[in-house]
Amino acid sequence: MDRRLFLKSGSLLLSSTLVPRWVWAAADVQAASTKKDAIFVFIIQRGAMDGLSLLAPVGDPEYFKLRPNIAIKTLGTKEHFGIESHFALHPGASALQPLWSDGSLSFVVQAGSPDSTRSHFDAQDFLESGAPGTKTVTDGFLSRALGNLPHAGPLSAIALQPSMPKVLQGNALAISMNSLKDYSLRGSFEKPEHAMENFEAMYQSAASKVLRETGISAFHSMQSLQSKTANKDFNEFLKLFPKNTTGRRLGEIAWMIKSGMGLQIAVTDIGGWDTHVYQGAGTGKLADRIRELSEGIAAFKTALGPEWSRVVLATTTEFGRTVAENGTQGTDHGHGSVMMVAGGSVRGGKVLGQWTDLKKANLYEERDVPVTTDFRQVFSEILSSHMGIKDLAKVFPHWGDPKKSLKIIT
Amino acid sequence: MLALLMSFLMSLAQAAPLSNEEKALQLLNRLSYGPRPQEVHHLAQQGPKAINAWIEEQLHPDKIDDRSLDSKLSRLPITGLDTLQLISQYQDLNKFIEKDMGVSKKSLSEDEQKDLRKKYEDHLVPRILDEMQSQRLIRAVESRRQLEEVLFDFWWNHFNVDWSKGPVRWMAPSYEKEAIRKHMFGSFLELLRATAHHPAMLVYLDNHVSRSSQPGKNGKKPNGGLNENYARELMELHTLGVDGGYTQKDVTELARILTGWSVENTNEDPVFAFKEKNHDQEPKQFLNREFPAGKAMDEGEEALKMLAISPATAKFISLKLARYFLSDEPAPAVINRMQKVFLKTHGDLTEVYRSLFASPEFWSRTNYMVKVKRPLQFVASSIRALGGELDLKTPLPKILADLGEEPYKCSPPTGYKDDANSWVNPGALVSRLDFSLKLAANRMDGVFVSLPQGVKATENLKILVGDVAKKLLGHPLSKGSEAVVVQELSDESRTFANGDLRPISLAKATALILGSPEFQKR
Repeated sequence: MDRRLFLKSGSLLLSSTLVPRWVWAAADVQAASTKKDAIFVFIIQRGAMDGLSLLAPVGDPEYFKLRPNIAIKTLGTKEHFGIESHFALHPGASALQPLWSDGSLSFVVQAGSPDSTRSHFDAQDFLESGAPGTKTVTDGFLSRALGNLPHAGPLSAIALQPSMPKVLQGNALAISMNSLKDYSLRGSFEKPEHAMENFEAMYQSAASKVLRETGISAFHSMQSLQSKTANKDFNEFLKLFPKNTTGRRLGEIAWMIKSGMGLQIAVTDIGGWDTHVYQGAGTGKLADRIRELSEGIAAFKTALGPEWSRVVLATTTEFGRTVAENGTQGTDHGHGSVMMVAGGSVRGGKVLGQWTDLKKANLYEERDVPVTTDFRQVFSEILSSHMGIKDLAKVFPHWGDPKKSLKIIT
Repeated sequence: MLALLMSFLMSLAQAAPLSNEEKALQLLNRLSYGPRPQEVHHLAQQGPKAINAWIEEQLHPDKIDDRSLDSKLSRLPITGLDTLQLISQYQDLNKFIEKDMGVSKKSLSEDEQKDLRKKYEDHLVPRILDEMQSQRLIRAVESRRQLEEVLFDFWWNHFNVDWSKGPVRWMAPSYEKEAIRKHMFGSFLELLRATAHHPAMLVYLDNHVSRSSQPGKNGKKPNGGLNENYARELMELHTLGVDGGYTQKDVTELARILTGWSVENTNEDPVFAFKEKNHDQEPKQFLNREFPAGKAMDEGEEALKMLAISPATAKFISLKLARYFLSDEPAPAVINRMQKVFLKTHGDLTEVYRSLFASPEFWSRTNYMVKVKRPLQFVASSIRALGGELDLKTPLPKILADLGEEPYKCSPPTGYKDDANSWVNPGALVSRLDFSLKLAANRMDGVFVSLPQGVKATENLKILVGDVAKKLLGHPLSKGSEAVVVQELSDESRTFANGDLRPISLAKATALILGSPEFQKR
C-alpha cells in the first residue's frame, strides 16, 4: 500500500466519532507547533556541481597537485576571499561575501547522497525523492514535507521552472510555472474569469484524480496570483535582481513572499554544472554559473529586507566531481559536494560538517570527495528547526534516526 | 448487494473489448499525433482489416506518398543544407559582418565587433533552431508518415543531444536525418552505431576529447585523458539501462575502448574520425570479456555489438517503447514478449514495434485513453483535430518551451520524460487551457484551423455538444464536461442566429472541449 494512502486512510479512521476528543486536541498541538510564517527555498543545481571550486580547500597541497590547471588559486591575490583559512570562496561567488560576514550563510562540506550512483538521472531522482538507493519512492521529499505542514492556501508550494520537479511531485499539491506572469488565461476570446469558471467546473468533475486535483489547484492559485501581480510595483521589484533566469526566478519567489501569498516551500533549479571539459578556474564556464547563482541569492536577501528572517535557502547538487582534473581540464562525475544554507535563522559564517584532506586513501573509491554528511541531515534540520515539522520519519522513510546535529538553525 | 452488482457490471465494462471506433481511436492516438476530422469514423467503418493495413502501411513510410509535405518543407532554406553548407553559410562571423551588415571588419573597434558578435549569436544562429523546430511541428501536424514522426520523437529523446551545446548546433540537422530517421525501422545495432559515429553525439557527450591517459611510446604522459561521459550514458541510457548489470569499472573500461572515437574539423567540416594516437593501446576487460590490445577501432565496434544484442538492452528498449506507446506502467507480459522478439530478430526494430501493436494489451480497455498527452502531443493533436495546417514560421516552439518541452533543447541526456507526473501540474495546465482558447478563436499566428464542420444546429444541446465532442475527441465527453459545455450554449438567443449555430458559440464549445480533462488524454 502506498505510504501516503495509508496515512490518508488512517486519518479517515480518526475522524470517526469513536475517537476520543483528546486525540484531536493532540493533533491541534501538533499543527500549531509548526511555524506559521517559515519559508524554505530550495535551489537544485542540476548537472553535478564541483564543490571543490565553490569552496576551494586551498589549505590542502593535494588540491593543487591534483588540479594543475583548474584549481582556484586566489590566495595572496586581491581576489582572495578567505574562509576559515583552509578554504577560499570562489571569486565568482564574491556577492556572497556579505552574507558570510553578517552570519547568515554557512557551507556544509562533503555533503551528498550515500548512494554510489554517478548517473545524473538516478542521483537527481534520489536527491529529490529523499530516499537514496530506493527507486520505489516515487514522490518528492518536499511534497511529503508539505503534507506535514498546516495548509496555507493554493500557493503554498511553488516550483519556478517549466515542469514540476520530482521533489514536489506527490500527493500534496504544488504548482510549477515558468514565471508568475505566464500564469493566466490571456488567450481567452471572452472574459478570462468566465473561461476560468467553465474550466474549473469541468476539472472539478474530471474522472482522472490527477487531472481533477491539478485543475482545482490551478484555478484557486490563478485567482490569488492575478490579484497580486497585476501592478507596476511587481515590475519595479524585479529590477532589483540580475537579468538572468536565476535572478528573475528568485525575484518572483521574493515577490510572493513580500506580498503575502502564503508561500511555504519554493523550488527552482539552475543547470550547466556538468563541466567535463575546460571548466575554467577563477573565470570561465563554471565561474559564470557560480556568479549567476551567487548574485541571485545576494539580491534575494537584499530585496527581502526584514522578511529574510523568515527564510532558509539551501542549494544542493546531485553529486560532486572527481578530485583530480581529467584530461580535458574538466572534471568527471564524483561523489560528495558542497551545500550552501543561508537565511536569517541560520547559524552563519561556518564551514559545517566533517572535512578530511584529499589524500588518496581518504577519497571515495580513491578518486572522489567522500560523503560525510547525508543531505537528509541538512534538510531534516531545516524542516524541523525552521519549518517546525515534528515527524521526519514521514518525510525521509527508510532513513532511520537523524544523525548528529550540525546545528544549522539557531 | 447493489454495490456488488455495480462492481460486477463495472468489471464487465472493463473487460469489454474495444469497439471498432474505439480501436480506430486507440490506433490514431498512439501511432499518430491524433485523429484528423473524420479519420476515426472512416477507419472504423472499414473494419479491423483496415486497421491492420494502416499499421502495415505506416511501418513502411517510404512507400507512403508525402510529396506535398516534402515540397512544403523544401521552402525552408536551412533544413535542406548539410553540415558543411550550414557552417559555411551561417557560421562565418566575418562574412556576416562584411556581407550581411555591409561594413568592413577592420573599420570596427573591439567593442563594435563584440556588439556584432552578440547580434550574430542572438539572431543568425537561432534561425537554425527556429527552422528545425518549425519543420518538426509541421511534420507532426501534416505528415502522412505519422508513425515515423511519433517514432522520431521517441528515438530523439532516447538518443538525446542538446542543440544548445556548442557546435552541436551545426550537426543537429544531420544527426536528425542521418543518424536517427534513417535507422528507426532497421536494426537497433545500426541505429546505435549511427549515433555512436555521429559528431553530434560525440561532441554532446564529450567523447571527442577523450583520450588515453596511458604513457606513450616515449614514456611521456600525453596531454589530456579519459572522459567517461559518453561511455556511461551509452550503457545507462542507450542500451543496458541503469539496472543492466554493469559496474563503475565497466564504465571506465568502455571509456578506454572508445578513446579515439572523435571528430575532425569540429568547427569547419565536422566528420567522424578514429584518432589512433588518442586510443588507449593497452588490453581492457569489459563486461567480463577480455579485449586484447591493439584492435584499435574494432574494439569499440565489438563493444557496441555486445551492448546492442544484450538481453538487458532488449528488455530496456522494450520497456521504454511499451511505456511510450502503451501505458506508464506496462504489464511485464508484453515487455517479455517484445524482449523475445528483439532477441530472436537480433534487434529488428520493425518486428519489435509490430509485436507491440499486435499485442492483446495494446487493444485492451485497460490501456485505452490512459496516457496523458505530452505538450507536443497535446499541441499537435489539437491542431490536427481542427484539420489544421501550419505556416512555415510558427509560434508553436515558443508555446512548447512554456509547456516545458521545447524540441531539440532538452539539456540532460535522458531526453524529456514520458510519465504523466512530469507533465500534469497546475502551471502546465493553465498554459494548455490558454492555448485551447487561442487556437479555437483562431488567434494563433501561423496556424490555420477550421472549426468542426457539419455540426447539426439542433436545439437539443446534448446532442449538439455530443456531436462536436465526437468530431474533436473521437469519443464522448464525461458527463461533467458535457454539462459545462451545454450550460455555456444554453442561452438560445446568443447561441443560434436564424436557426444556425453561431461560429462564436461553436468556437467556445471547441475551446472548452480542447481544454477538457478528456482531451488531455490519449
